[in-house]
Amino acid sequence: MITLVLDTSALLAYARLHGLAVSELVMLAGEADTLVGIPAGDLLEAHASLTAEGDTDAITYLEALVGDEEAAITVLALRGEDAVTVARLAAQMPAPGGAHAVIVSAALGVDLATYTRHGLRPPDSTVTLVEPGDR
Amino acid sequence: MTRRFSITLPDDVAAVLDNVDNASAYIAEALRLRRHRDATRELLAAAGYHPTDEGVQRMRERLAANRAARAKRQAAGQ
Repeated sequence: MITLVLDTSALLAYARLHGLAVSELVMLAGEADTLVGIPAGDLLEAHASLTAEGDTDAITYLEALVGDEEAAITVLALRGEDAVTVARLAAQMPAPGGAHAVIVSAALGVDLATYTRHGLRPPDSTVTLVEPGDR
Repeated sequence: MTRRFSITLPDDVAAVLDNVDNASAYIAEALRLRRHRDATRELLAAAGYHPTDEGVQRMRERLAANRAARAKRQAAGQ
């Protein structure tokens, strides 16, 4: 059962090793026998950002996050019926934006974990993450 | 495919199995849950993350608070 979705900002923070809060959410899923969903659109977006930066270590961590079938992570496909909605939302969001995460978390009725204060999900459906150093 | 094991359990753990219909299924599920947790912890550790029990508990409380607020909002909207 998927109980949480990570957006592009959360994936980037995790891969850049600034995402302690993300790791806590993933560990919580591991303890609760649930899954954290990673939208394919956000994964592609994060991977492209890291590739453009040439951050090979971060790419390794990102790929490892989605490469372990036994851990509490699952990649969420971009369904055909959502593709146009995601594309239209993505066009209105700053890059990297995480449009797929917004749409799929709403469809699943679960929380969206993000470092971005875009307000596209209700506050009671968003886990806005802040690292101690950012306060 | 299944395999047969002969195992020894402490009395308090064995007592749990006295009250379940299918001890093999119960143990298999417990081991699967443990593997899920350990694989997740190992994945995070490989990236240098070592989430604490306190940090995980804070996230558990945040998600629970969100669920409660969502349920309240949805009830008010119906």
